[in-house]
Amino acid sequence: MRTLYSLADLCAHGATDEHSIIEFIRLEWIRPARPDEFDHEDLARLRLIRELGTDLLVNPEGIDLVLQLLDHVHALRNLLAQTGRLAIDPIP
Amino acid sequence: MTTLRNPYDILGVKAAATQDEIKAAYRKLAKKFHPDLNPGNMGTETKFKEINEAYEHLGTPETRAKYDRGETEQATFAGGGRGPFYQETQRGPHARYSAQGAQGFDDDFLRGLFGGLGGGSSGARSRGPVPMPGPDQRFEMEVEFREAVLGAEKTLQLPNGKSLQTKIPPGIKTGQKLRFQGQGGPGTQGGLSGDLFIEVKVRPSAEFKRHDFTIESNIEVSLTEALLGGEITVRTVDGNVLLKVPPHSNTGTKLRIKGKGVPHKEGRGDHIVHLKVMLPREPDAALEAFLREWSRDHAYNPREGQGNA
Repeated sequence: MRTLYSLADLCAHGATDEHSIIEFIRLEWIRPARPDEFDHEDLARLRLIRELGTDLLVNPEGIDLVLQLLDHVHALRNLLAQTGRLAIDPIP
Repeated sequence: MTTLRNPYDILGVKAAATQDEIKAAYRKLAKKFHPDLNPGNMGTETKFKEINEAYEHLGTPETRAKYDRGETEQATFAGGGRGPFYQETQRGPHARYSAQGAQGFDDDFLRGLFGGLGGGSSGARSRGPVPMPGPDQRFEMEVEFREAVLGAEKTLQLPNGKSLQTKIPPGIKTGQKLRFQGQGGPGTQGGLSGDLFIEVKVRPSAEFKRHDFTIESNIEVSLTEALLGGEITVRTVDGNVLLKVPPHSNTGTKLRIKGKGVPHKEGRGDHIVHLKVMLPREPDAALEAFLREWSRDHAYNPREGQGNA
């Protein structure tokens, strides 16, 4: 079953404050399926954003670019996997 | 946790490197080997963890000094319990973000790809300063055995000069962490400060041992006290208590002092005292003469039935 998180849960699990998360949503770095309802994809993406911005000091333009590139890379990998041209491990 | 290699070698810095050089080397390597920045490259996760563990040893002057002194405990990568990397959530057709990333592939996915990069939806969003939360910080604090059992209030001097009032909850164990929300590194552009984590190390006591909620100690008793019983003074974490030794006690006899152990939700554990019978420090001619006489009619063999003669 898919675990869902409220904004407060996301703050706690992602070690990020509400103000920052709201800004990440406004920038479309995080795009929850429903308002104030987040899932494991959003949480993993938030952790990545935090690691990039806080730990590795990547600037906002860099984060924006990284996220867009990753979206395309994963889309391509899934597309190639569907056509049988890329072996991707199944989801554990 | 991985087997520890020299963290200086892992980060590619000299032993004389400054903290700033270590930090810069860590950031460079972490960016290079972050599993999410290397989708599909299965080898980077181990490397990334190794880099993070090395940085946990060398990342602050305190942990680095400890490593340099040879106190080479295994570091536990703080991100070890971080949950899945982002790439692990993006496999398969149900992954939302990668499905959105595929939009534009239908007609000409190459055009879609480069179109997305150059002038995608992000171009339309106005961006002012982006708030970023501050980094979490980790420190260690040693506490005395008694403080760990009963709890205490301590003032901790942080490396940045700030002092922090810490309340150690009763019953804390080595490895447990105290969290101070918002006391870590400062955020940028309005992001909140990170959290401060203090990992507790309980200094072992020469006198007391702890097993869960029970405290144990040894105490020596005289032959007379063991044989005839008596009252002795026993040290507990709460101070001295009087303990009644029943007649015919022996080495290894355990006596329980209720409620003097480690506090827990429903009260407190017990303190168990292990008796050790001691002969007089100096040889005693009268005792020897008495025992010679006494053993003529009362000889006994405590090893009987144990295979020893």
